[in-house]
Amino acid sequence: MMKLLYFIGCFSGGALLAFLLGSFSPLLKKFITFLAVILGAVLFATMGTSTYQLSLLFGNQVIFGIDTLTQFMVWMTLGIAFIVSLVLWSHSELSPTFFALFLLNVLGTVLIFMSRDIVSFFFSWELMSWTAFGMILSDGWEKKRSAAVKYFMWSAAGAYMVLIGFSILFAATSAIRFENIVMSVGRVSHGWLITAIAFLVAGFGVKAAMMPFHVWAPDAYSESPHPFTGFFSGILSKTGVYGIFIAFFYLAARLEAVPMLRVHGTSIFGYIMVWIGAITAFGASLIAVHQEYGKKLLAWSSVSQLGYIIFAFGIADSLGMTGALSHALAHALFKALLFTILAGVIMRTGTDHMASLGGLIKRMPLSFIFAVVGGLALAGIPMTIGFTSKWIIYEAGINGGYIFPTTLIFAASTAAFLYYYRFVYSIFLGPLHEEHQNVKEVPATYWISYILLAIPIFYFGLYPGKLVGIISTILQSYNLPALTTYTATSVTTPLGTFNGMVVGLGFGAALIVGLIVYFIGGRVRKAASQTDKYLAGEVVTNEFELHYSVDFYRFLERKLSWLLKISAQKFYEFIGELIRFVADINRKMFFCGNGQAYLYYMTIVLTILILSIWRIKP
Amino acid sequence: MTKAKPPKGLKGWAQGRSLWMLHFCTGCGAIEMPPTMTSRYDMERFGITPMATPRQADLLLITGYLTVKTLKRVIRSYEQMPEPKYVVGFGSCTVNGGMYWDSYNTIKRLDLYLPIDLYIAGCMPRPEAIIDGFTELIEGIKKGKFDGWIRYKENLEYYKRNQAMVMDIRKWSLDAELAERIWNEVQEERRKRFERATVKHVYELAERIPEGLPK
Amino acid sequence: MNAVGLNITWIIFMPILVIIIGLFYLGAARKITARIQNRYGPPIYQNIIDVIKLFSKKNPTNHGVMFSLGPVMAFSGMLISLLFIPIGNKALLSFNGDIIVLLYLLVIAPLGMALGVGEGGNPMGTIGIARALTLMLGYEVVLVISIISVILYTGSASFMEIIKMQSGGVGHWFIWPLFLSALAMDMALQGMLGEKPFDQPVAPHEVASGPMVEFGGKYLGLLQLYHAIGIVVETGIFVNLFLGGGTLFWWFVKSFAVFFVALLINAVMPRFRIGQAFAFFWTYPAAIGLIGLILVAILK
Ligand code: SF4
Repeated sequence: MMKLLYFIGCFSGGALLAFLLGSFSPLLKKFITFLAVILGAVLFATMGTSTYQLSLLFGNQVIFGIDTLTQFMVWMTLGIAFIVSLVLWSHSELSPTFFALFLLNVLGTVLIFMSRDIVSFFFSWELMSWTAFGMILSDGWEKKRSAAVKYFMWSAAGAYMVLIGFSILFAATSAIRFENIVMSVGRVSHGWLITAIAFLVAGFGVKAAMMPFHVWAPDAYSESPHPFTGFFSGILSKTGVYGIFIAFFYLAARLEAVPMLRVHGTSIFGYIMVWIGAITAFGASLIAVHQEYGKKLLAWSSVSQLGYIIFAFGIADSLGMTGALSHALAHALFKALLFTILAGVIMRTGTDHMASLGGLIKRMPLSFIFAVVGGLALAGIPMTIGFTSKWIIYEAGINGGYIFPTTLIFAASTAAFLYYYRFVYSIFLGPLHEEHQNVKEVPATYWISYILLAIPIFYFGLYPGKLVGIISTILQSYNLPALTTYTATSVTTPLGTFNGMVVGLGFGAALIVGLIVYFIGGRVRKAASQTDKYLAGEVVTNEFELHYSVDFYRFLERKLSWLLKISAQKFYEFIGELIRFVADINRKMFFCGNGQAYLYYMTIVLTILILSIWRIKP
Repeated sequence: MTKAKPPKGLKGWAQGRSLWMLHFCTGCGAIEMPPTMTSRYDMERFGITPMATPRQADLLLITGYLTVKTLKRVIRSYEQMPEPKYVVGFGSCTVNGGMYWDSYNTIKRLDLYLPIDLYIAGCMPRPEAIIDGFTELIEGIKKGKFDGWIRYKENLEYYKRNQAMVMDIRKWSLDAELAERIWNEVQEERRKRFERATVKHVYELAERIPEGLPK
Repeated sequence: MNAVGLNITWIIFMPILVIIIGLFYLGAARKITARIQNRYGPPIYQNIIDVIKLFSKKNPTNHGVMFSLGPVMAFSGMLISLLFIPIGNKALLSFNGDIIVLLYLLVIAPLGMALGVGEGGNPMGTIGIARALTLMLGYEVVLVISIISVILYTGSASFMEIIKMQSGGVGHWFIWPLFLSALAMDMALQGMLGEKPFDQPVAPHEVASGPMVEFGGKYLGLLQLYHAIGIVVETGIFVNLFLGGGTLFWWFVKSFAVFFVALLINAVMPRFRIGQAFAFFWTYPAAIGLIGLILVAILK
């Protein structure tokens, strides 16, 4: 009880202090934020698994609890929050408001994972959404208005949908605590239960950037302050994923018995989620391929990766759920890494427009190395956590018989190579631009955070069994089917085996062989200058634009233009136009500014009113 | 420092049996290459294949006359090739100017500017002659006879000086420092001569042919 | 010697064998193409000479650390993929990963090469990579469709299981029941091997041999080795999935036969434009593969 209060106090107090003292000294706001996150982590470590009741006014109580899933999610959150707070040491230019909001945002996110009743859940949800909204706006309303408003509208819509879902459940069961709802969910009629689940999944789907509710995500991710984007896309989206997990597995399990809702032994919800997830993953990655700005590219990539998680949740057997939860962690790690690297690049060069960057490997080699690490995980190369989770997801898809969505998922991951190569080539490879000749490597806070993120990426890639072990414990504690065929280094599914350590050692040995062969080949000559290239004998100067980064996949875009034209954004814009049109007619007819017309309308309305309450007695 | 030697033994054999060429199709002689490559004469049976870039090539084939403008590109391409590398002059234009002996904008003797390993004479040489030249080149390479790139490296100053007579070597050389120095020297020399130049002198200066090849 | 020791010996020995055989494949490819074009052609061991020559070249130009590491990573990536595919009843490491693991191991090599090419900074090279990746987006889908149909048919994603189910003569090979999938995969293989209608990434006349544009000397030598192993691995997937593996000798014969078909197509085909190639993969082969997949799903 007290520990939870300390925990909340640690973050909100930190936020208050950072806000009040931050304007006096930039050092103080950074230090307070850093300290608050560390202190929070220490406090959380002492809390263990337990349940807390908080009394509110009028004797109402809200419940917070910690179980294995909560621990998993919260450690993920606090880990990435720690990375962000580390990186923030190099960002004095951000306002104290930002630091305060960041701490509150972390608190809100953690509380979502801890909450065990409707009220506390919704309260935490709003705290998280509002503070994120504030952070997008924290450096300038004018610049960020469109993205922020979009985010806000969608968040509000999502929150309302969640609220409607909860209200239905509350009305039907008159229980507030999750466990009571689950216990008495049998009393709810199937129709209402389906409605409630649909609303909940749609509401959480907004946060998890599920198509067609994803339109806010690319804008909001790319407009949020750069050091924070990793947290935004890596963790905040996971609240949606968590919500779907809760909604789906607390409630949807009850629907299993309804034959109408089952196709081939799976609930129809599963089918819908699998397809939505696959289409999200595929479509978003195709869009990511054609982005010109680094942050936009990674943002669309986030949407795509979240599609994998939703896909895997939809499969809903032991493999699917293991895959979903492990990909949640994998995505948080590598996306935080990539966004942090991009933040470093933006800090040093001032832009994320990929065509005006290039050749930064010469100036920022460390960032490049970790961009490769992040990319390996993103593309799902064995030895990284990205492969562990994606592999389980693929096996789940094929094993579950969802062959067509699985094909889409595979195509999405091939598209991931495309956009990842565009990202890393345009920024780090190719010729170095004249104005970036004197760019420096990122400061220590940055590369320490890179290393901290890279360790788990490789660890869980080489020891996939450890990750599966953690998740199996969680799933077992929820009485859900769990994957049990694993050792520390290998995982076995009904279809096949994957041994991360053997792959790692094998590749290490192969790399050594490769290097030996390389060094047998003797000395090499260093290129005389940056323009010492094969250009059909021509010599160009440094100013000559040799960076192939505009219209990178033009030929692909041409072929896929019919597909890329389908856009949810356009659909919503169409709806917006429609509403505006109707409203315009409405305005023209009724608010014409003519007094006589108003009088006329009033007479009509009055007549109708009078007629409607007129009673004629026989 | 030991003197660099052309490869012999296995390396020399492999080098001879696998010549990848960059054919710099400058003059009219280039038209003889397609028949040499295709089914009638089939150069590939000796392991000779055309390559797209100088990075991959062992053999620089100059098929005919070179204007000064092209010479720059040729030199650049030559310097970009990895060692060992060989240059074959093709047609009488590369030997002594051929029918362009009095042209104002072509170079006459290619070996002043690049170390030629082998000439294939004729205007233009027939595919048989080309194949004959290539077999001689291959046999020579196997025995370690051809060492053009070593000559080029050892007499770099000589070649650069000659090149500087006809073109601005500063932009086109890989070794920018050396090029800068030699360019300045040549300019200085040229300026001094110009001070008391007659029309005849100017013509000579524009295309001065240095006497004798280095030993 | 016990089984494990024997396996380890094979793990060490197999790459050398495959490199040599792969180089002979490449030499045979040149010879066969030459014969089709009515030429005499180089000797069959020509590519071995080429590799020796490339490694003996001095001072190839180096553009940076990643540029050097690129070909090394390509070579090593292919080497490790090689160990995850059973060759002629020799399991090597394939008990430690299934087809999907192999599919993603196969990506290490091109990715490494792509990074190296990127540091080379030649726009031609990058165009080549962009084309190669676009092509990959095309053929991966077809490849995955046919692999899924095999997995669906056998209920296992492990190579050894799939080979075991095909044992017992030609009649048991999966190419018969899964003919459409095999056809689709063969089309995808043409793109994977980079043979003619799909050689846009390395088109010498358009992008000056694309990714290889800046690589010379030992870099190119490493890439040749990578290519040699790649051919064996890529045809090997087809052999293991549809032609029933076989003993070491027959395995290589089958793999060469698959390569031979690709060569014949290569010798008489012009080149697609890259957009067309991509669109081609997503239309006919994908449709064939999907029909095959649906048939498997229905008949199973
Ligand atoms: S030697 Fe004759 S054929 Fe050759 S380039 Fe000169 S003029 Fe043309």
